[in-house]
Amino acid sequence: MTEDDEMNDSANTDEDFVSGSAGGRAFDDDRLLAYALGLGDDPELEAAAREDDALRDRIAAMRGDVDAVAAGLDRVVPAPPDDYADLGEARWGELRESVTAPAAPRRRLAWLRVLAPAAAIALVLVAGVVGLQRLGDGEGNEAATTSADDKAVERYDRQRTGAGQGEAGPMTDGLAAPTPAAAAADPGYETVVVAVAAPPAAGRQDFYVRRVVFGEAGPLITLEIDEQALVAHALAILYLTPTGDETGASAPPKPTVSASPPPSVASKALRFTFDGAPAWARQLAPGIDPERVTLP
Amino acid sequence: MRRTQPEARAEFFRRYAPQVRRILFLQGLCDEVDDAVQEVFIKVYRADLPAEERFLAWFYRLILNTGRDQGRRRKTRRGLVERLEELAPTDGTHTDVTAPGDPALRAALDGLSPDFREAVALRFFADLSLESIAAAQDVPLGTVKSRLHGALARLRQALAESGYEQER
Repeated sequence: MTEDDEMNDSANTDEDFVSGSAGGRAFDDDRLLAYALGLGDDPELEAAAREDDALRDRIAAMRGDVDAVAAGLDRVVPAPPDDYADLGEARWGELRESVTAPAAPRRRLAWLRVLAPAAAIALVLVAGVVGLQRLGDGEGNEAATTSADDKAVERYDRQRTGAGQGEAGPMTDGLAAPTPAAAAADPGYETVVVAVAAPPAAGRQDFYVRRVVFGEAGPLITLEIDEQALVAHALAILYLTPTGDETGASAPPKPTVSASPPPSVASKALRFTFDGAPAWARQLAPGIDPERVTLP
Repeated sequence: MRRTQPEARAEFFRRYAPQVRRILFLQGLCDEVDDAVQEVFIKVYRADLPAEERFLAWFYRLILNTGRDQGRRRKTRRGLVERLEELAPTDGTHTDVTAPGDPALRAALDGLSPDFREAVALRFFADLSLESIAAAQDVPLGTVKSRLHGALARLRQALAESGYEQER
């Protein structure tokens, strides 16, 4: 029996961990643990706890346990000093080279390098055979054949040269490779993007940009959390840096999503701070194609 | 607004390096922990990155694997308790580093299996959800719950038995 198995057997029966009465036993310790760890709302548990003193005691005991352990861990494995990640420190010498190095080629580029020339040669051969057949049939049309070849070569050139342009590299391009913004009406914000939320940390939340709807943006955007973070891994539309008459004091209007049936867009927008100015994030339904999000 | 690749890489490092260090330390690294932190980020910068929705699970799995590999390569082996004792007093930014329950907590951490310590580290140092921990450890959600539950029970028990609870 592994330690995991032993723990599975004991996880819901360990009375040493949560002292208290048998109240609220409909809620097992795993559920209470998730709640006590602050891993999400549990309205059903909260409602039951309002009516059940024993359940409230169990939750309080569980939270006390979690807090005590968290405080103990902070003491025995303290966070490093604030300047720990200063890249100027000698210990990061090798890392500095990687930070400034050009983007590494992606594996699929290697495939393109092999396949694209082969595909181009095949196209030229096919076009040549077709051209010879037509000449042989007396129906040759030089202009048409040349045109077909030109298109094939153009396609090949686009494939070959375009594959390297804007290609994703580690950390910046690789995280997002956002689509450039198309011309759009001024939304009152300098930048509007569709992005995926990372788990919040230290009062901030990162967003990996999937598409730039308006303005310009890099692949990673960091917002300071004003009141509440967005759910990690959720897709959201972000409005950054109010411009003109827009102050950012109130949430911008919902975007529209061209899909049938129309997917849901969160009615509540969450306020953040970006570069000292108000910013807004509004969650989009999972699975929405970022390309289908448009501003009203 | 648009950040260059080096800026984004440097910002990513500044943001995540402290928690990576703590995770690796709890995995068992000590003298070599900064080398391991550096190795993690070099791997990230050189990697063919996954899609962004899978990036964080990939990143934390990379941290855990790096820690495990470094641990296997380690030449000098010392117990976690000894290394944790070394860690706390040498950090000049923290003065309250020796609370009454800490020796017992160090011993309890040392007694946990590596998988359990990893789950604790990901939850408390990286603030990951249970689902994200499961993805990083590549185990079912239920296993993460039982690991965390079991680990917390042992750590809490160690604190209680040492009398630390009364002195809080």
